[in-house]
Amino acid sequence: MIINGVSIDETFAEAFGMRGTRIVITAHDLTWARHAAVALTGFATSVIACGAEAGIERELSPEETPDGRPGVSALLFAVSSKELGKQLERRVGQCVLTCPTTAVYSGLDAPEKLPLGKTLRYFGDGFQNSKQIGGKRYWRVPVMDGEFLAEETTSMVKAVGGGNFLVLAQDQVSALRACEAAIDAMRKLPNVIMPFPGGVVRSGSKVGSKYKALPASTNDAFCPTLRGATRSELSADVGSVMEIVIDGLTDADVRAAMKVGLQAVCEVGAAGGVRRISAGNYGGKLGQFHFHLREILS
Amino acid sequence: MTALTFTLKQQVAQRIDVSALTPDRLAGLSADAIRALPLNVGNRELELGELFSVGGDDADDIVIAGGARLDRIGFGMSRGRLRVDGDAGAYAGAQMRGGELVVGGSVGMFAACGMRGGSLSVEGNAGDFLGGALPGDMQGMRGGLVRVRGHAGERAGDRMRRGAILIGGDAGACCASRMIAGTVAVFGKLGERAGESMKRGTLLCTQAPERMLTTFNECGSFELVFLTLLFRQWKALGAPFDTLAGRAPRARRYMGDLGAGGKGELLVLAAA
Repeated sequence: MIINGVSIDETFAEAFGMRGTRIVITAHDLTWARHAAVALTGFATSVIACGAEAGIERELSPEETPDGRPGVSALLFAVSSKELGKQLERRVGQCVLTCPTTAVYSGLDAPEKLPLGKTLRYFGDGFQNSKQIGGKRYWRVPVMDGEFLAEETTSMVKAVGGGNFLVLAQDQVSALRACEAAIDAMRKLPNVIMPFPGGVVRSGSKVGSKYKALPASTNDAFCPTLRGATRSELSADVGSVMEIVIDGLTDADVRAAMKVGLQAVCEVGAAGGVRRISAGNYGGKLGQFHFHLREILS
Repeated sequence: MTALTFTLKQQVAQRIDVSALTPDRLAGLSADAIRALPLNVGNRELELGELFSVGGDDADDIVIAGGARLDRIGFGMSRGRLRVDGDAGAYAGAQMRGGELVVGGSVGMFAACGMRGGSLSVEGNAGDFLGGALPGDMQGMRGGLVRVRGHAGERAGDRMRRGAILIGGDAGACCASRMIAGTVAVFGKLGERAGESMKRGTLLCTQAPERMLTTFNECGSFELVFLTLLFRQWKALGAPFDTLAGRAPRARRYMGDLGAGGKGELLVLAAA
């Protein structure tokens, strides 16, 4: 399959089941809501070492938030319910509770719950109090700028992490520009995040390493500088490869995001220096979800 | 199906206990069985059919036309709708667990006492101990929503544990006395000794009381985000409860009663 001069590999992205949640952070203005959300979703690129994968889903207008203030919705994903609960508590406790004027609410409604204000309330040292409003419980925790308001719980759902595709371009700048176009398009969709910096990752990994301590190491088959020294997947016209990783609340969300991302890359096309699109997988034996590139683009 | 309607044939000198007339207790009963229900009238027991004319057949939608001598209307109801044309006596909506009780007139003492869920809406006034504890109980209202468009008597929200009481008019003396938690909002004037022996919970008012108990300490004026959530929730409740929607959530906070732990709060909303 060739679209706009870009060759689409006959392969698939292999994604895994994760646990995901959404929270809504509001503040006096969007700047401070963003400060909290950026901190909350910081150092959350990969569960390999960060504990969670997280990102800002979108900005919310005052009409869209529970308290009528500007806000930001963020998605967090982890490998288990327990880990997601731990990461949520730590991140909200250190990054939202601490951020001036913020409040935090659940952004999902599902049967499985995760503690939000339920555990953070103890920061109030006995001066905290709760309010039940519209069937939901909120905790009011006194802090130095006034009061931190946190909904007692948020919901957790079974989610999908690790949807991906690789952009193979003639050089670094071409790969970067194509990925930027893809990310711009993908960020318009709900229920997904691209957890790496700017949504793009340049250090794709393979399973295992020559060093016993490392579970993963550089994907040498896609490293252009190793083309002459390893069993390379790259032809001579590929000078740089970048990857976009997608986590979503459902496989349909990941598929939809991959579709608009792939289309955006194809639109940049060969004229923009893009040569091929591929995807990362482990032979299909590890992940529950397979996203075939050609099927998505057909 | 039409609403099951009970109309008092004639006023009696004694009080009538109509706690049997709830959707829960009338479900599945035939018209004859309903007419044969025993009701306590003073120290006598009479069949319902002797006191009320009965019409309609929908036990989930009940209308009672009676008066202030009908006590325990909607007592312990858990579902359905019960409307009262005119006034209701004492204990209206007491021990309610769910459903909707609407009183077109006023209610007597102990309305919504020990209420755990559902909603009570009163177009007129309420007597003393609105949402309080039943005599002998340690806790008052434990959930649900009470709306009184008129005034409330003394000790509204006494020993209240959870839920919300909204009073459109004035509240009598000792409003939110011995309150344990929950929210009482007064849109008119607060009476004497508001919040006396209050442990926790929120007493919200739109006008500062003329005299504050000395055991309440001022904390300052703040934007409290949770107020916006409350105001939005009350927007659907009609006047005067919807008048706060869109208003800045700024209030002057007084903590008290310091003689009872001091973790309650009296919030005086800033002028619009």
